[in-house]
Amino acid sequence: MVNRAKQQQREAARAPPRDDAVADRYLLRFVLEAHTDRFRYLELDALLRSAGLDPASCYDRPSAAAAAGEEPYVVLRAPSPRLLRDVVTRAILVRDALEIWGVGADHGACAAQAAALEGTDVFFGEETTWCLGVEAYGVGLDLGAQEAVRNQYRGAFRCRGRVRLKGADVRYRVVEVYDEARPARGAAPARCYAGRVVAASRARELVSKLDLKQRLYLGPTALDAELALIMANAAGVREGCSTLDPFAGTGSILVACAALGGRCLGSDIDWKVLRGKHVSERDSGERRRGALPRKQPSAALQPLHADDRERRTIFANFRQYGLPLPEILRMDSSRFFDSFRGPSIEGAFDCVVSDPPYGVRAGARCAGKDGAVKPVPDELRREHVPATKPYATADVLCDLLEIAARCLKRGGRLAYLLPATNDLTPEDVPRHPALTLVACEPQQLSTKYARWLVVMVKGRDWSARDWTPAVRAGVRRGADAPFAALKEKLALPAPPPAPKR
Amino acid sequence: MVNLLTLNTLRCSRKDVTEGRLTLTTSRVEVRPTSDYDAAFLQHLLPSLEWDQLVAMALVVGVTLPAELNETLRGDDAFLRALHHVLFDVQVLEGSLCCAESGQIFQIAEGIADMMLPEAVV
Repeated sequence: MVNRAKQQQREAARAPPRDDAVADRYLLRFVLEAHTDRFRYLELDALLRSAGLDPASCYDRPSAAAAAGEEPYVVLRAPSPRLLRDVVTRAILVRDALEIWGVGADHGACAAQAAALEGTDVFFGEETTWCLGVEAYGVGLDLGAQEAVRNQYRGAFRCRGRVRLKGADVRYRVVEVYDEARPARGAAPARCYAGRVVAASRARELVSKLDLKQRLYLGPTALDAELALIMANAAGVREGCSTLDPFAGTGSILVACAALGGRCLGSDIDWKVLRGKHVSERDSGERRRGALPRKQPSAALQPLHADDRERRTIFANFRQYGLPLPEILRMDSSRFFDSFRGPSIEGAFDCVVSDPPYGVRAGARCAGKDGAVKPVPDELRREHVPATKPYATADVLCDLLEIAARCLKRGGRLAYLLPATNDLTPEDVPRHPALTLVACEPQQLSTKYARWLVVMVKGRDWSARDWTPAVRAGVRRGADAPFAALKEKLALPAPPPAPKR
Repeated sequence: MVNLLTLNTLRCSRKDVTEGRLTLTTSRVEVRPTSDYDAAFLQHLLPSLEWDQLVAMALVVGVTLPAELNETLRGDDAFLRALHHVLFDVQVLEGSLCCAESGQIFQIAEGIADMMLPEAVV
């Protein structure tokens, strides 16, 4: 905490004397990763919305076809630097933002525009340290080429202070963008941008801080930190948001939500998962003398809590990062509303984020038993574990949508994962009368299957008429058209062979 | 860790109860500040609370709340601070919830409330 405060002080001291923007357009640089590139705009839109901006008026979205494998830049119009920082610091998939001083078909035109821009002199003081980066996407620029580019910008960046490559007060950057993905050697860039870096992602650090390799307590279905964080952003989780995950498991999604400032409630049916497992001495964090130390835990992590030495529970994962502990209930999501007083839970949440069990890696269970039920004798009741039975995927999805539709505030968002084939269309995604589909984007798993991130917003108040048993039964039987189409596309394991008689 | 706000939202899930009001008993409680006091958030929360139940549960953890809510209290900073404390800072680690109507008992163990019913009564 002290470090963070110090860092903020340093940044404040470094900030240029005037904070008002000299230009209102910004060049956002996305993180370059094949496995998240389809989520870029989904996350950006969610962040813009949660900052109170309308994405459509902020940037021109490239077509879906162009978005895949496209240059990792987008030009954004933001009404104020404050809002821009709010968006960029919370982003997982945006690295930083450049305040655009000049743009042109070549460096000459770009530099001339930047040089002509008014109000830039405040950044060129003798005391102000600076650096000028040159970057290009798709081509490598050797040092000589970079130097040649820099020299063209002498008139635009009239810096008088000293150069500092690390920790400079003001960071300038020149960016070359090419039209083709792999331009020929010596090809001219399609566009050049020049400007000042005004915001960088803070949340991106969480991807390595919450890395599963360092996580104390993992289950077979723990979701990787990056995707969990993207989901949390997609659902609009930020400081103080109440967040629900009805299929919490080891809490990998709630950890991400808590790290972004959410207040978390999680539920799961599996007592064993929630209450964790005993750990061997080897893993307990207390090394025997003489034993080789394993990889040192990162300095960002808290020292091992006394409660987590012998047994790891869902709470260990929160204590490890110094996050507020979530509220955890053991309950059956197929009977979620039986356990709550209606008015207390309806409209109580800003976000619902979940990776429901589909039986791909871990089978879904709900309470109940097929066949005869034996009463439990009183003396065994304390130790008795209620029976569970398989939980059909259609039911899991129905229940998740219903939970989100009832528990969310109006305007609250649901983000969840759906494993399906690559050709899933928005029409295939299960509907709920109170929820509107916002986005549905894939992460490729194989040539056939993908993990789709579905984002829905609660568009209107929930009403009991929306989701009658008849509607549900229809979905379950596959009579409902969207679900029938989805069933063909869901990446589900083959049903077990019928038992031999 | 389960706090009194969460416990206040719960009811007994048996089909044969009407209200399913739960009474709390505790054997291990931890008190530590968890979140920042936010008066507006608490005022927003007040209408959704089951007040009688909260008063009873607060008494179990040693906090006396006024039996009736009124307009003056809603704007009373000292009251809201006390409410914040009892709703968020008191964490029940071990204890149980008992349904007054059916006698069904739900255990709270290691900060997790177990709201599952045995299969015979599901």
